[in-house]
Amino acid sequence: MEIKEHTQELFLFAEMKQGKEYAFDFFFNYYYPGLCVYAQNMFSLPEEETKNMVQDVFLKFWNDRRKIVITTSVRSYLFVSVKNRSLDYLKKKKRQGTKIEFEGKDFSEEAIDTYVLSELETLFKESLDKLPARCREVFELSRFEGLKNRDIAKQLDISEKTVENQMTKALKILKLELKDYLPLLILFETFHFLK
Amino acid sequence: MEERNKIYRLIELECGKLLNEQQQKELNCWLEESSEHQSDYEEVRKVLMYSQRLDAMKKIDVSNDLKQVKAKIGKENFIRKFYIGFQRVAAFLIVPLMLYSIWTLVGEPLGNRRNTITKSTETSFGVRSQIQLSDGTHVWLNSGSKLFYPEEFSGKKRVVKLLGEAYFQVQSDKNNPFYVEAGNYMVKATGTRFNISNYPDDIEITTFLESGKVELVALEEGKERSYGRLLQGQKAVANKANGKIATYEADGEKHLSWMNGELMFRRDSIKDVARRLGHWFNAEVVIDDKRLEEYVFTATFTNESLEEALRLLSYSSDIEYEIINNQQRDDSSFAKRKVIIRKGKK
Repeated sequence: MEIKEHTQELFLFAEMKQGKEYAFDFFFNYYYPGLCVYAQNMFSLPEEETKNMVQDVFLKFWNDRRKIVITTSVRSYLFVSVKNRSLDYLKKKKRQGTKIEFEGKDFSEEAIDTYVLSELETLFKESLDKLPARCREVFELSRFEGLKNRDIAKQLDISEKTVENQMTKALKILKLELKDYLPLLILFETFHFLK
Repeated sequence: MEERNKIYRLIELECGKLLNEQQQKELNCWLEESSEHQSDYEEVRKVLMYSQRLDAMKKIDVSNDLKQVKAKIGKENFIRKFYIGFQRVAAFLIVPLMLYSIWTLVGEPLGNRRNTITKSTETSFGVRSQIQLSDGTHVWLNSGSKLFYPEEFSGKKRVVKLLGEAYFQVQSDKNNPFYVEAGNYMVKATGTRFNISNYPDDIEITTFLESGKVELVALEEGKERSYGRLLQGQKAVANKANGKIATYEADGEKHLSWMNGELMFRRDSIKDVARRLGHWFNAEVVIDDKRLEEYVFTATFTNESLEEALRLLSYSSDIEYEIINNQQRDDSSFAKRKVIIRKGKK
């Protein structure tokens, strides 16, 4: 996150403290999707539960706005709030006898950034622009439309083999494009750690 | 190319958590072949995971969920505002409420509390009763009479209402005069003993003062107007029809005899006798001869029956009587006994 954005966020937060709803709306629109997916991925929480939890975090964020002191950034405040809530939820579940599959792990601000929709979107958009048209089409249908290779082949009237080739090509280009921008995956780190 | 295709498919499957044991083994073997493979794996996996994450985030309906949160905020705000408003109202009301409770707790015994509950006591024919009112006043009710009185006296005036005959022994309280409402008149007293007769069929209201002072008043246009005072031993007779009030020296024994269970006549006109016999025995007494109107009677009855009383009266005067026992009316109820008095044949 750039310094400029951080300053902008602090300004918006000051606006929100004065009861200006547009500032709250901004934070919600900006962070809500990422926070939901974050809680789902990191703590394997059910979708409905996650939404309620994140909405409660925002509710508290608004109601307590005068009391809240931001020491790092608004985004880390929000993500840490969701993390703590998720852990509380898991503890409660554990007490009720549900086995926890994954324990949350502290992570850097860098990792948080990949949970900010607009930032990740921008990053992908720029990288996807580097792909040849057909290649990009295959990748988007596969990753964003959730289609199986067989269906992509049918839709684009090409062979499944061609789809696989295009997909491999796309991954090859994208991994290089995104290499410098995206941090290593937390899950992967954990995977290696466990190994 | 072939191998890479295969490995990338395996990584894709792994991201979707769709990898089976055989495939996992295959992937692990490939990973262990070289560190190059490992970094390749990491990078591809990153692309896949982040694209998956981006897709998941895009699918969330942010504006709808924002509406939900705003609704929750609105609800909480309303509860908060209501609570704050309630606190303010409570704070504003606490002092008056406290004063009110102190006033009702402490102020009540000091009086002035309004109590409009009206009670009534009624005596049937042949029965007399005595009651004590909340201010200590004693009232003796003659037979066939009714007294209306408040459960507790309030305000400046002590007011009761009488139908029939009663003797009052009023508790002295000069600040709160005692009023007996009888027809259009009121008898005002402070601490006295007097008898009032005001039966519905009476043509006169008779007030006899045994001791103390009473004043006859009437409410005219909301104001009290005096119709004169009575002295001890006097009686006032107010004509209900023409409103005339006359004062006489009276025979106390006669007016108060009913309290001892005596029906006493002292040179009373036959009309008077007929009326009082009627009240005493619950009968309708009719005089069937105008010539009898001048007759006066003196007698005292205690335990005599109606027939015995009439027989005794007929011994001393030239009268005849006829008793028609209670006849059943059309509606199955029984009429009063009827007595017809005629001039005798002597």
